[in-house]
Formats: sequence, C-alpha cells, structure tokens
Amino acid sequence: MASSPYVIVDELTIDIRTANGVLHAVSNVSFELPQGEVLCIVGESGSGKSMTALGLMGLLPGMATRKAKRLVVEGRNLLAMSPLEKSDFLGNRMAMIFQEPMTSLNPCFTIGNQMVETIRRHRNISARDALTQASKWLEKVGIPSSAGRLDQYPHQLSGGLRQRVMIAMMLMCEPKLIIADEPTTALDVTVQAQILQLLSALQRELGLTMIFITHDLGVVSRIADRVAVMYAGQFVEYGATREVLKSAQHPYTRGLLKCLPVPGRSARGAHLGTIPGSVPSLTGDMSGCGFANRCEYVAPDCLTSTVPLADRENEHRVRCLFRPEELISGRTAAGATP
Amino acid sequence: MTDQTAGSNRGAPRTWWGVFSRSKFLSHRGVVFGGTMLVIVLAAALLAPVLAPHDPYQQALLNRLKPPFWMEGGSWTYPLGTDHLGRDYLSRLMFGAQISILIGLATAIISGVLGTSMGLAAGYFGGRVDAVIMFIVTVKLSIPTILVALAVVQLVGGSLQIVILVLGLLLWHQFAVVARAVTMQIRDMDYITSARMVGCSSLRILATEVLPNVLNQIIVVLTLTMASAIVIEASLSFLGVGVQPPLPSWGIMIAEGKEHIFFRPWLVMIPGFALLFLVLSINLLGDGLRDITSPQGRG
Amino acid sequence: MTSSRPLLELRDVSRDFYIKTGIFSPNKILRAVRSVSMTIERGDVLAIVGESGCGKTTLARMLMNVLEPTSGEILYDGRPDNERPPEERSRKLQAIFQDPYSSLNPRKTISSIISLPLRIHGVRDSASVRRETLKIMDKVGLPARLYDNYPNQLSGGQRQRVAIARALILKPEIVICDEPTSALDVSVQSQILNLLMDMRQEFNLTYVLISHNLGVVEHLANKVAVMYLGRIVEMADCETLFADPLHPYTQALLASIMTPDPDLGIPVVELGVAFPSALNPPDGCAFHPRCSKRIPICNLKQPDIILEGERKLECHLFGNGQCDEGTRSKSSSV
Repeated sequence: MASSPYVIVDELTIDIRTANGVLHAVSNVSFELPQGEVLCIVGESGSGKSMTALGLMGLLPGMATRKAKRLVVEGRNLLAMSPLEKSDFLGNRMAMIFQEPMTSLNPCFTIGNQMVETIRRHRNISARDALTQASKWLEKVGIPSSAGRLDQYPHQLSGGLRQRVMIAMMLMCEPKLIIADEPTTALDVTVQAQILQLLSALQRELGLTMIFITHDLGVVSRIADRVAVMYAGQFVEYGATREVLKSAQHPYTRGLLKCLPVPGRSARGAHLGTIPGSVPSLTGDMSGCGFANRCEYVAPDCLTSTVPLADRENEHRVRCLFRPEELISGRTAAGATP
Repeated sequence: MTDQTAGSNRGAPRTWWGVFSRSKFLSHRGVVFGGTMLVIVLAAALLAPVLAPHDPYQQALLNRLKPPFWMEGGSWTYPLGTDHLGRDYLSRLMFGAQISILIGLATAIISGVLGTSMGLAAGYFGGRVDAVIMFIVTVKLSIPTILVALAVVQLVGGSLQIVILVLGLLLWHQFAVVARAVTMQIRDMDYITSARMVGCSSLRILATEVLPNVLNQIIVVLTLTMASAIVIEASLSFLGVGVQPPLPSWGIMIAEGKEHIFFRPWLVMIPGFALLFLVLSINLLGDGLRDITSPQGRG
Repeated sequence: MTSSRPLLELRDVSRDFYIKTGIFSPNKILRAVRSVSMTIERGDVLAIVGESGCGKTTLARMLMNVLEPTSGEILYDGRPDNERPPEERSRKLQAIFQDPYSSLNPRKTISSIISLPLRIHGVRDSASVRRETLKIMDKVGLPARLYDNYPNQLSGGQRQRVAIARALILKPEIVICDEPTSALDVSVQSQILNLLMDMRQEFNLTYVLISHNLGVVEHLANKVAVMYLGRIVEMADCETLFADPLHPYTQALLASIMTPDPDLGIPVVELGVAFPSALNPPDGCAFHPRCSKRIPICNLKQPDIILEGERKLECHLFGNGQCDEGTRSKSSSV
C-alpha cells in the first residue's frame, strides 16, 4: 500500500549475558514489511524468534542488549525515541499478544475492569464510555453476551475466551502493528482454528500489519503473506509463503517439512524425515553456517566461511552456499552426528 | 527459549560436571565468605585445647577485668582481656564456640530428621496424614518457643543434653513446613508417577526420588535452624537456665558481662560479635549452598 | 501370548474428583471420565484424542494404574487387579510422559533412571544391570558416554529417549504414551516418532497414545477414540475415522487440522465459543451447546452408544428413528 515499508528492521542483533558467556540470541536479522501484510517467523525453541519479537517491542529482559542499524515502524525510528515517547507509541501503534493469556491478565480484577484501565491509560475518556467501548470490542472478537463477561474474572474463562479477551484488549487502543508470539500454541486445535480465523479477519478488516511468531508450519501456511524461517538466531530462509513452503531451498526448511506427519500425505507408519543432532550452542564463536553440524549436505566451506542471506529469484532469500540442485548428500563426514 | 543451553552440554567429558560444580562452588561469593568465616570459628573451636593460651576455667582474681590488647592497660598475655574472675576471655570464647556449634548442629539434626520426615509424609500422602501433621504443626507454632524452653529447662534442670533435646523438639516446624511444600510440588512430577508404575514402595520413592530433591531446601532450613538454636541457647544461658556455669557458653559470657556493660563494654561486645559472626557465616553458607546444589544452578 | 483375551479391557470405567469450593459450600463433583468401555488388543496402537480437560489424561492415569477408577474395572490380560500378583502389571505396563523435564528426576544419573525398573524387579547383580542398561541405551539411540550424566545435561530429545529406555528395559507388553512428543520441537518429534515405531516392531509393543496432535495420531495409530467431556463419543479404526468422521465433534476436530499447505485457508470450525466445564456438564449430549447440527432431542437425552462392527458412536443424529433423511443416508454408508 504505502510506498515505503511499514516496518523496517535492519541488522537487529540481540546478545544475552549468561553465566556461560554471551549468548547470541539474534544475529543480524533484517526484514521489511509493507502495511497490511502478515509476516510469520517460524523456528524451533531457542531459535531466537521470540527474542526478535521482544527486541522489536523493546521489551527485552535486563541481561539482553539490542543493537540495530535501523528499527523503523510507521516511519518513526524506534531507536531514537525517548522512553516516554516509546511507551506512548507502544500502546497506540504497536501491541503484542502472548502465548499464555492467563499470565498477561491480572487474576484479581474483572475483565471489564482491566479493559477499562487499558483504554483509559491511553485515551482520555470517561469510565462509562470506556465500558461501552470494552463491550463493543468483546462483541467484535466474538464473545456474545459480553455485558456479563465484563464482570467475570480471568480464571472463569476458558483458554480460548481468555485469548479472545486479550485480543480485544490489544485492539482497543487501535494499534496498527501487532506482534503475536505463539498466540494459539497453548490452545486446542479447534480453538486454535477459531482464534486464527478471528485474528486473520480482524487483520484484514482493520488493515493491520502483523508479525506472527510460531513453530507450526501448518499455521504459517494458512495465515502468512511472508515467512521467515529462523535457525540459531538467524533468518535462514525468507520469502513469500507459497514460494518458501512450495519450493523450500534451505536444507533446514526442507528438513522441517519432511519431519511433519501430514494426514493424507505422509505414508502412515513409515519413517518420517529427521534432522539429526540438535541446535548448536549460541555462545562464543559463531563462524560458519549455524546449521552445518546438522546438515546432510555439509561441505568444507560451510564450516569456515560466513554464509550470507543471498537473494534468489522471486524475492526469495536463502542463507546457504548452494542452490538446491547443487546440494550433494554426504560431501564430508564432518557434522554427521547421530 | 528455555532449551538454549541444553544442546551446548552435549559431548561434555565425564568429569566436566565435577569440574564445573567445583568452580561454581568457589565462584559463589556467599559460600566463599560464609565458608571462610565458619572455617575460622570451627578451627578455633576444635583446636581450642591446643590453641587457647590459657585454661578457660582457671581463675586469677588478681588479673580480673583486664581490657583487650588494643586498649590501654591491655597486654598480649590476655589478648582479649579477662573476665570478672580473671579467666582468659579468648580461651573462654574458643571453648564457648565448641558449645555453640555442638548445640547448633545437634539441635538442627534432631529437629531436621523429625521435621523433614513429618513434612515428607504430609506432602506425599496428603489427605488425612497431611491434616494430622499440619494440625501438630499449627499447635507447635502457637507454642512460644523460648517460654517453653525456659519452663522445661527450669523443671528438669539445665544441662547441655537437656538444652539440645528441648531445642531439637521445639525447632522442627520449619523443616516440616518446607519439606511438605516442596514434596507437594514434586509429588505430581512424572518421575514420581513413573516410579510408582514400576512398583516402587512409598518409602523407597520418598527416600530415593523425593528426598534428594527436597534436600537443597532442607539445607537452608538446617542453617537457619542451627543459627536460631545457637541464638536461643545463648538466650537461655543468658537467662541462667541453659548451659550451666562454669561451662564457657557465649550466652553465659554475655550474662556475666552485662553488669560491666557501661564501663567495660567489650565483655559483652566480644561474645556478642562472635555470635553475630557465627550466625551470619552459617546463614551465608546456607544460602550459597542452596544456590549451588539446585540442579538448575543459579539464575 | 497366544491368548485371545484382550490385553487391556475397560468396563464402564468412571472417575470422579471432589473439588472443594469453599469451607461451607458442599464439594462439587468433577466427573472426569464417565463410563468408558473399550478393549485394547495386542499389537494395537490406540490413540485417544480430545481437547484439554476432556479426561484423556485421567483415563491414561487409570490405565497406568496410578489412579483408581471410582467405578468400573480395568482388566489386564482378562483378569482384574486383585487376581494377579501386583508386580505383574508394573512389569508389563509402562509409560512415557509428555514433559521430558519433569519425567526424569534431576538428581539421578541417566543410568540410575533407566535401570530403576530393573533393580526394583529384582536384578541385583550390578554387572548385568550395567549391561542391560547400556544395551537399551544403544537401542534407543543414546550414546554410552551419557551413562553417568544428569538429565539437565541432555537435550529434550535425548531426555525423551531416556524416558523411552526406562519404559522398555523390562520388556513390557504395553506402553502408555501420554503426549510423548508435544513438548518437543518438530525436528526432534519426528526422531522420537520414528523411534517409537521401531521399538514397537522390535518389542512387539501395544501402545496407547494420548495426543492432541492429529497428524501424529494419524501417522501412528490404527484405532482412534475421540473423547469429549469424559465420554468416548466416537471410536473407529484410524483410516475410517479420518476418511469419514461421523460425530460432529470429530468432524470439527479433523477440520481444524492445519497441514502446511499455502493453497488452503484457515479452516472454518463450526463450533460455539462457549466451553462447558466438566464440573457442570450440560444435560443430554454433552456436546450439544457447541454442536452446529443439534436437533431438539440433543439437550434432553444422553445419546445411546451405537455399535457398528469396530465402530462406536454416541450421537443422536445417527440414533434409531431420530435422524432425518440426510443423516440417515450418511449413517447407512458406514
């Protein structure tokens, strides 16, 4: 829509100080997201996907440091904002939903109470108007008989309802950018589908830009316009959803897709594909390709040279030295761990 | 995000854990500080017969109420001066440490065994067992410890053994409460379920699966109880119903010094600081040990 | 081994929990599992699926013999518990749990965790304990160098392998797998699933698989039971169920599977938002408040169990005389 991208992240790097040294949670993550699009960041635990989200929001834990060339949202430079400006901007333009709504809702106050508080923190309106607003938004997220719900406490709601309440609370301040960190992971499959349906409908209706963090490739395929596959703190593959999922080029993405048991597609009872080994330590020296120790196509160059996120056709970017057709299994014995 | 370090431990040599835990031991400030202080007190106590410059019971009325060496009139013959009977204060302090540590340890162990077993049973079995044990704890908590100790010791007569026994029977409640709380968390862990499925007896589960996971909390309580036993013993002795003179308990030393507190304050301050020093070192060490022995390590 | 008796049989098994609601108010009854009957044959992989709170974990814990049914009985090898030496079931029936972090005692070494069942069941000789432990570690793909390590030095996948080794060391007949992969990453999940399949071949195992991941269920199971608020609402062999789900809840469940296919949109699930609690289950069919196909009788009467060969169903839409033309034609196609 807009001529310049709505979100610009340029070389975002997040280091965390730990007892065992500095952990490179996120290394040089860059992307641009036009207004109204959905970017999914997909990766396994420890890949740095949540850290990227928190880093963007500026909600990092104390031991973490954030570095970036540029962090721009809606043409405003997040890095240059004063704390006051930032807290204002965060509530009004950017909002975040978390995996476990129970921990983000205060158990001591009613839903209505918390919603009114949230609106009035950002907007100068009366409590009565705020309450009307709150019930309007609850209806919008598909909670019927919302007047009664406003008097309920978080523990009286099911997980799905709580997540809907969280979405309503987040949308009340009319943000333009939403960062959703595994918002459906803790939910049952049927509820997950309903919540995704709702989020996606609202996103389209309100023209929201969304960054969606998940580990589930199934979810990615259904809601994302673009996908970033994250591994060991880096984007290893980035592009349009169809492009990445249908013609995955990075060995990690290809491996992940083979790991999934898909009803009707993977042969029942047959062996699934695996990615041997486990995620490397993110502390200390990080030279070479992060995936080299688990990659079946590993070559000597992979262990020594820095692998860039290279542009391929169709705005598809891949962090691999080789094109898929150049990948040869078992080039060296190194990295072949059980 | 919690799995980040898990992979990094793969392929560690077998001795790695030992090396790591030892280095962690030495890098913890509380442990180093508390440990050093405790070692000093322990050495003083254990080596008192060898190191003490004088016999702690030997009176020398001519030399009574000598000030410590750093004050005017003090001398190196009596580094910390003498008390109102002319006994060497340093020697009494060192022998007194023996008493304090003995009482602290013995009390903590008696009450630890008692309280921990009650807490484990209450937490693991729950239901009626829990109700009964928690009732006993509640009753215990409503008993004023010092008053009961005073009364009992008054009745039976004060001696080292009686003080240990009374304090041991009075200080177990913290063990019970902590052990119960931790056991209740552990009880629902899948490894307990798994042990039950395999056919382990409850006793075996409590001893081999639950207890090792409760121990690091118990160590902290142990140190706290030890510290408070030492303080209570000093109080009882101060009040004249604890360890009986001429045994050089720190409490007795403070009691005897209190008459001179305005003109010879060191008579109270020296055993007072010794008490503070010992209790502080035990508490620091306890906190540190908890940090180190928990499987997750610090932070 | 040649007996025709089912390996595990549940007869009208129920489990209630009493929930304290306050000092003066009466205890509430949570009916976690409500008269479940089923048989598990040798060699089966029976999957139990359903939402959280549907009672599948309670059912699993009853199968594991760590929770007593309130009523009904569970027969192992055709005999109830009191007619059997107590250690038999603990030898033949093992479990793998969801969370590989809470299923291994952090204070014990890998070897002592794996060998515990062996030592409990009378193998005292330390050399043979070591030999057996190393053998099973090798089978499940754990390198021998981890023998003296502690669980916190292992990755999630390795921990789950330890749990599997512990479950298999006594050569059991049946293993209850309670969400064995849902705490694991995708790439590790597939390793563990492969291992479970290999072990089944090797040890002739029967599995009861508790899972909410329908992809995993479809891949592993040959029979599927769908649970809703404590009852099994539909049970069939896996292929039939995935190809032709009958119960509206099963249909919704299968419809909400999201395969990684960018050509498809987010599935539309025709279920209400309200989620009834097991403390206060609705009258009639427990599913009716969320059901998009409900008919008048649904909130009046608990549906009868309809048995058609291997298939089992609890739904008024397919009951005798109550169904309209459209659903009858569908039910006759079963």
